[in-house]
Amino acid sequence: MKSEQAEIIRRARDGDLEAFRQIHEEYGRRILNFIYRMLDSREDAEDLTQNVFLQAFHELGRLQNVERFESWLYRIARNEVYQLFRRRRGEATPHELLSPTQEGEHLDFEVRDERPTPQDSILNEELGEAIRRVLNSLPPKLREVFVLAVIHEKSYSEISDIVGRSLLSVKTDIFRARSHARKVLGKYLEVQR
Amino acid sequence: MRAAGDHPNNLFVLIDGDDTADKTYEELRKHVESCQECREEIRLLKSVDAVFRSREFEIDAPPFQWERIRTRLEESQPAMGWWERVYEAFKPRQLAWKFALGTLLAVVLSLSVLEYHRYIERNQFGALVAYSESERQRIESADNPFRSPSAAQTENPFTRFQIQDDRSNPFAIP
Repeated sequence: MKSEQAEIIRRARDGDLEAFRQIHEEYGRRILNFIYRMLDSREDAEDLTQNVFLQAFHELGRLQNVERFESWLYRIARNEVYQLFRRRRGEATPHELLSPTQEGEHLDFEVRDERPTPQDSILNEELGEAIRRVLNSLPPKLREVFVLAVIHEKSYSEISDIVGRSLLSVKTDIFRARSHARKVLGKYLEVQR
Repeated sequence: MRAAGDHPNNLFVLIDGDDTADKTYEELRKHVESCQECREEIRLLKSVDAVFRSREFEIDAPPFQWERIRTRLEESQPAMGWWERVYEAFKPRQLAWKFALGTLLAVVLSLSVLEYHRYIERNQFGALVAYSESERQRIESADNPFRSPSAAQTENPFTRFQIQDDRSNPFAIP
């Protein structure tokens, strides 16, 4: 982390709203999209992003190491997502929710339509839809590590810090999620080549 | 040399580059250099990643998001823990007037206690007042500086030094 960023975080920690605005400018979009990928709902993502930043401002005083600010912010976002899942438990969330996936356990991905479309008909909308299908078919436990690793380009150790799981567990889940994504999206991309 | 598919996290390790310290990493890298099929697979995996990372599929923050956050921040005061309240109370700038107020209260309290003690030991006419036997003993003890003067003490000190004038008054009327 750059020293200027660390300084901004320290100022925000002392209650400087302008410094906190700069933090929001820097991380707002990332957090919004992380939540969006987790929930697949723009409205929920917008609401939760607000909650994340409110909570971050109030809890910032307890953050000892400003170098770990980003991981800490993602952890708050992740907690917000899981709280929403808990509130909506039994509605539309997958049954695997919050229950740790055992090693080697069969994952029942429910991808609705995996048929590759003809090369000339693959449009961005379809690809976007395919991305959503892949993410929605992943259990949250796999989805979060996949989003963090692939979309947010976090290192394995950062992800381990954010999700609070061992490095090995994180690596295994990323591998499983990626294999699934490759299986679904590979069909589109191979057709394109 | 092992084939790429034999590795537990096979080609993803190469793409992420997080596990370069892993002993299989170098072995895998060498294998990929000489394997056309693995290189094609890596290209495909990178394309999959690129699709997911594409900003085209991201959403933008809604307008005025920061303003909404700021409004909510200004409306809500952070819930302070007891340690934060203690910290706030002992901040240097808070201490000055608290010290002054505390000193004033201490002075007023001390004066009240002194006045009370003086009151219970003397009534309004200056006589000793005892509300119990033990208190009477305490008041009358020689150690009590506020003790009422006894009859012996009330003797006029000047009487002892009164000059005995034996001379007759020359102006006296015979």
